[in-house]
Amino acid sequence: MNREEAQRLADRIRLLRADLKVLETEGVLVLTAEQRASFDAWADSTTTQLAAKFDVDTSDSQRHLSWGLKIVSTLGGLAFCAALMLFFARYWGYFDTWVQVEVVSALPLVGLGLTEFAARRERTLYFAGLMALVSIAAFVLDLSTLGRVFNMIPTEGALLAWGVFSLLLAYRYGLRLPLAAGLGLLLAWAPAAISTRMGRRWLDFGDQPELWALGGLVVFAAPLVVPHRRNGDFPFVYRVMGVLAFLVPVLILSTSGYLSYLPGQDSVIERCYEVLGLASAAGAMALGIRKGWTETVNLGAAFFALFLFLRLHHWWWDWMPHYLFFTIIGVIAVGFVLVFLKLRAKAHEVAA
Amino acid sequence: MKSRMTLWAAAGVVVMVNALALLHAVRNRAGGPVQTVTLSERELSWYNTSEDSGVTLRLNWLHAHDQKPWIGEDSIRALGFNLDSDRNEANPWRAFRRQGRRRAYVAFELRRDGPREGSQLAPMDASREAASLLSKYRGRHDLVILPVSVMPYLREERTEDGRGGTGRRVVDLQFMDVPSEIHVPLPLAEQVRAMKPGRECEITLQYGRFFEPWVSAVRFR
Repeated sequence: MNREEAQRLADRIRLLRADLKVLETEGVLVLTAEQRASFDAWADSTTTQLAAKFDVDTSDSQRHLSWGLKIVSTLGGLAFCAALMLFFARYWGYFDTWVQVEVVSALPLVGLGLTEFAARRERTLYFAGLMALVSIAAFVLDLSTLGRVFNMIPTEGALLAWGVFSLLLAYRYGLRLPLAAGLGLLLAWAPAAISTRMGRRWLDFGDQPELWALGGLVVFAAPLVVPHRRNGDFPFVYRVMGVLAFLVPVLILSTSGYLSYLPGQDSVIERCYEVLGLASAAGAMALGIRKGWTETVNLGAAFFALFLFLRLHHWWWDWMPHYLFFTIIGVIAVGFVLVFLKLRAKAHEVAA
Repeated sequence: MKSRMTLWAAAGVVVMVNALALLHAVRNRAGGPVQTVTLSERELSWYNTSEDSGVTLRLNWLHAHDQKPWIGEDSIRALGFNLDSDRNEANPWRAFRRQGRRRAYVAFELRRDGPREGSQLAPMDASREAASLLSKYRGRHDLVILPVSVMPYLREERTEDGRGGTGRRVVDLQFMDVPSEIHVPLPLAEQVRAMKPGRECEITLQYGRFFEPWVSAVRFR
């Protein structure tokens, strides 16, 4: 059992307790004293074991505090990253080249050591998460400084190094933020590397939306190919990064066809990507509903609305009175609400 | 906690990448400089900030607004661009955009007929291969060849006096990503810090096989 599964079990026990209370009050299900005592003993013992082994939240107030801790530790990590970079920038110029090189080369290893130390001392990994962010920042500072000291021409290789390092930290400690950072860096590296091989400027990786979209598909599909038994919360990150990395480039191509590798007129390419965007967003919603992936449904719905708005904007904005345009948008939204309500009722009948 | 393999792998990535970076720096300087050029305070400027104690020189070049483009269309075609496809594009900024920016090498020379103020370094030639430029301009110490990104663009041809346009469109070549920031290590950095505004100086830059420079001398006139 991993921490995520333990938390889900703790949540189910808490909800079951609350439901039993309601059922007792309404006289639907009343346990005997013996049954109640047996259930309470089991629930208390299981919850205590889960809290002791996985440090899960066993009440609503604990859950809210945990969210607060995650936000604060992330902000704290980012603040330490900024402090590290600015502190180094302020004083590095007073040292010889080889002192500069030794200090920056050692920093990520020191960060890694502190992350490991924090992870062994504290099970909730809030401090380890903070130190992992600082370690990644230290590695970025390391390569940036080496590049600056020796006046190296920047290449895309640094993105690969930072991405791999972030992923290794993520998998070592089960941290989602370094995972997202690592996936983002690798998603940037792939189009940059392909651009370089094609003789183009690697910094134009942002202008290669089709390569980003391909990378997005790979990232989305990765957890389907590689099961994550230990880090059960990682597929969520892969799906979010994958959907964004696919649909944002498609959105860009639907308005800037000149960025496409496809031959043909820009306007034709833009219309094709608009249709692809609508179809993919709808597909993401359908897949998310089928698999129970809430984040995929939500992102799919948001992009579907965006693509639809863009299409209607192209058709009507120039000639239709703008108040009428937004009225029709509202009516379409109401129509979708009615359709989804009907689908929801149908799903409820099927389940019953 | 998972096995320590990922921990050692993370440490290994840091050690290996640092080693590769240092090896690259050593290889750049191995065999001596490929180019040497001496520039003045007009071509290399330095700005002091309290938040950054490092000394970084900034390479400046002449942004000429000549009548003619600084490079011919044949040379632009030799860089791999198709100049026939977008010549009639209504919006000149959209022309050639699909072809994207490409890597190339541009030769910058110190002009003797430049303006009295500002940098005298101006682009004068470009090629896909550095070797051809190095061979063509071998022995010249008033010239430096740098790796850049280039892209053609359409602009209006200027009149001879430079004040107006002729109505004709010409193809010119824009370049970017010029490696223009040059770190100065100790002890030369102390000399640069001592440089007061308006004081004339000469700074000698040497470039290695990867076109990555280092400062070899700073002299005040």
